[in-house]
Amino acid sequence: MASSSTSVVVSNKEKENKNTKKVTLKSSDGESFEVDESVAMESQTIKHIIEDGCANNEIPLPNVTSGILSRVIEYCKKHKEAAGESEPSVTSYTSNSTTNPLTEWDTEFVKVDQNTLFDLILAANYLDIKGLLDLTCKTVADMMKGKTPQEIRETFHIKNDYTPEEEAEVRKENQWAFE
Amino acid sequence: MDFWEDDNSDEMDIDNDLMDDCEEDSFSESEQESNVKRFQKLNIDDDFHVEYAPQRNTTAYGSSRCLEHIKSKEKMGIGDLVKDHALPFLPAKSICRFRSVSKEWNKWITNPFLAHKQSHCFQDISGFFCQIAGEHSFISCDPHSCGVPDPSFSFLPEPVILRTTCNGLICCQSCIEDNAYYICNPVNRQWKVLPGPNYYHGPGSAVALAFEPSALKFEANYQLVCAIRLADHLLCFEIYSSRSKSWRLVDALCCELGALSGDGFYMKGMVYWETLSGSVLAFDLTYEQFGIFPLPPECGPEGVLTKRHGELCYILPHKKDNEFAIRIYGDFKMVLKHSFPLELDDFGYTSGGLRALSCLNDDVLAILFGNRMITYHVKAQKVKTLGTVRPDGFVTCHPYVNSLVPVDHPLVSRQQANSRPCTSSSL
Repeated sequence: MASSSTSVVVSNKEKENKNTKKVTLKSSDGESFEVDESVAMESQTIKHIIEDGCANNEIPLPNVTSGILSRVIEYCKKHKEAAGESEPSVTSYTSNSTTNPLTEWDTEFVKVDQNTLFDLILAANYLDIKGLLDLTCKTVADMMKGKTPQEIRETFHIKNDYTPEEEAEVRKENQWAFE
Repeated sequence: MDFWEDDNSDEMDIDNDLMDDCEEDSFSESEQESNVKRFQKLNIDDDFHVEYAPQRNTTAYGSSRCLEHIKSKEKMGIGDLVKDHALPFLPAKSICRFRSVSKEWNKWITNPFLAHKQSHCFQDISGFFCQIAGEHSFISCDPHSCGVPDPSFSFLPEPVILRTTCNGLICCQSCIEDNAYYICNPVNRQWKVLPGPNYYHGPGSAVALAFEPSALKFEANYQLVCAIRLADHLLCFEIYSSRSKSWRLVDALCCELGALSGDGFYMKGMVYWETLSGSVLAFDLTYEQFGIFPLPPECGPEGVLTKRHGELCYILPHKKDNEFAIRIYGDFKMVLKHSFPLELDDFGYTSGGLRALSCLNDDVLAILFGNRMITYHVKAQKVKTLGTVRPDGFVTCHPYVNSLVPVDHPLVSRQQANSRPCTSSSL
């Protein structure tokens, strides 16, 4: 005869909503992405903004285009899932990490053209996502390792500020590395 | 904006997790922080920033601060990011070549903090040091990106034999006088001679170098673990620690094993030596205790203990009729896990057979096929020749990581090194 069961149902629903708190990210070209707050907090930058109470309706990310932002969100989602409910995932790229179950997924993720890869690096730095920064930088490192210094300058738009004599001196000191 | 005020606590938390697996001894948080801070301060110019971390001001962090924070990150272009975050993943030879990219790159590359970071980020086997009859050579896995300036070790003050390697550090031993041990890195030509041990390391002894590059510990802390034969079936362990700069005898005594077949292999806090009778002597550096487990009955000098998929395994070439295969044994019982056929038809007949050298990354094995060193991709079944060794005898081949890891400058000259009393072993 007691009819106190309804209150239990309501509080469960409230709990559900709390667990899937969302946040909206806005790309430089005006597109909005709604993501779980926990996924967005894979980015330390966004985490600080949210924790310090600066996130109102949307978080503007004027340095990230929608194309790149959607990829970044994909990465964060995948890695957040893999890490479960624990702290933001920590993926180490410092060893032969086939103990990392996401290695194959990550390898496919970075099979993109060079410009996209560079944009991902810039975004990972801007958004402070260590795992993504390490992954993309390791990929770039593989691409760099056989190059000449001139090729490096051209690829990354670095100005050569050596005089010809200075450059010859450095080269002579490290002649073995050029052979 | 002063970057150095930040304590990089996010970076540190992450690295602490890595530390648990790496370090055999613990240290306080403040020591960690001061190590990192101390060496970040080595370069004090404003245009030089090593790690990028947000400024943590725990008091009111208004929205104007948020924008400031976001704006400051815009300064970094792809060139800067690649310099700071991609270089540490490269082998030493490539990094040294990139010194001539620009002055800023040169400044960062010659900073000890980069050497420390690279020794931790880059741990791939880059090639093999080969020696026979006092002659040394280096065979690279990728000659354009991996190499050393002087593979003959002529930067050391006397002729040496190479005993063992670990993560970029090499342990050599002098051929003359009191057979002093040297620890060196042939990339930067830094070396250190160890003081003489307290016990006699006679011909029946074997060494293993334990060095785990750490994200936080700035100095390369390593241990040279020596299994010394005291009598026929009696082994004791004397360990040199680079932290204490001294030798120490461990309590454990092993009286169950016969002769060891060579120098040991280090992995994840443990050191492993093969014995001539087909077992493995495993020494735990944390608990300073040993254990023994058997190798598969078919084991032999052509097999090798190595790391694959983060675990210890034993790789053994197998020949039946004219078919070659590579067998991989793993787990505690060293059971057969995989057998990959070796398609070597193009190479023709070879005398001298096959010898497994190492696992390079999880799908690539390095094998000596006669006097030809090859890599074999087990899934793609692709063979690549790295180089050849002298065919006129047994060539030892040690895997080497092209790391920039710094070694102490020689603090102890040969004359000042403690002379070693001859004790025990006359049993």
